[in-house]
Amino acid sequence: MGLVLKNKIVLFLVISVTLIGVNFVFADQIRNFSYSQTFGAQKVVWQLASAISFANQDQLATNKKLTEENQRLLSALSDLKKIQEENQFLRNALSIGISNNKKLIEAEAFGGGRFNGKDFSYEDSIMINKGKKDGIQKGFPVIISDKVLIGRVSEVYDDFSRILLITDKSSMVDVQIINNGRIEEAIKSNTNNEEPDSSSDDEAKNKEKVNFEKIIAIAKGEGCFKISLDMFPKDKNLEDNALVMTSSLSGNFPSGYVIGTIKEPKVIDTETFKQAEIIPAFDPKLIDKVFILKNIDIVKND
Amino acid sequence: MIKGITKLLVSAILLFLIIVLQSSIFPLGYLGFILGILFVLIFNLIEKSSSYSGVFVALWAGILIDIYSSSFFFGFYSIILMALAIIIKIVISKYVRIP
Repeated sequence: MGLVLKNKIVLFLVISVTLIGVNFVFADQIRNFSYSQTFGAQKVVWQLASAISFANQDQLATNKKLTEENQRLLSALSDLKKIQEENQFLRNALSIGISNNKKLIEAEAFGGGRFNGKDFSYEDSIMINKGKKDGIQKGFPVIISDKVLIGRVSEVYDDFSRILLITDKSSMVDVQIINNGRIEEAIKSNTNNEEPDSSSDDEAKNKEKVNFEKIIAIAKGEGCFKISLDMFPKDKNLEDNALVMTSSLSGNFPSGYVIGTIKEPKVIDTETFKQAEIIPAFDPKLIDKVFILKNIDIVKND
Repeated sequence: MIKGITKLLVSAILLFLIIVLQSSIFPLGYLGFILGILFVLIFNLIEKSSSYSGVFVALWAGILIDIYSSSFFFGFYSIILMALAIIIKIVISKYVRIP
């Protein structure tokens, strides 16, 4: 019995040393190979899980249609804001422009969240079937449909990548809030085709007319597909259903991408900032095709 | 020998289904990890203490967990589970007597 035990311990030590050695050399290749072998099975399970979440296929199709329509409308609102900002930039004759140098890489999503063995928590992330060979690098923003941001590339292998969703606990995105009243103003001024008067007396008025009040805050991931709003000034107005978009203040994400909408804003006397929940503009269970923003130039806001 | 190999193959497939496919579904990633460890524990408890199969099953489960979860380094959970398997065998051989 002693010899058997001794053999087992020797076997254990040999395998452990081998694994530690492999970790430094082949870890990424082993992961890439495993993902390539299990991609098909994981994709089937991913789609099956999505279908099972709903009572029947009709309900799934309806939900998908409504989600896509909602995303389109939110994207249109963010486009409107972007156009107004660009008008202001041009009018003020700034030399800094908004770069359109972006390429989109299309990818398929498979694989749900991952268990985080370091801190025994659950990671909100998805896998996609594109990697280093397709030009993807760590940190690239990832969107779905038109302009809905879902996260960023956190790990890259040869043929696969992992996307950390904005709902993950480690995710923080600087955002700008557009209250509903301002959106209606913008739509009115846009449809009336109001041209700003170039005389100096009315310049201040024109700036106020076209310039949205930029309220910058932070969208903090809470895990389990929840996002909370942080560092929103207490003295500013925060409405229910206000649109939340990315701001390029920190340079991590390009400006004008939809995050979601505000829900239940509240003021707590003992807190320095207003608090609210952000309803994400995407449903993780319905993510199928994603787009990775490659070579994007981020223009930092003042 | 054939019985031993069959047992290992079936265990490997079961562990694959538990850990890999669970990670494809939101939010059952936790379940895959816990079930994987439970499988290794139970396998080593019911197996003969002189057998090596439990160590290999622990190694395979650890590799799957390392690949499909995030850990400190590749091989971390493999080493932990193998050590656990050996400890279980030592405890059973020294302190457990089945009448």
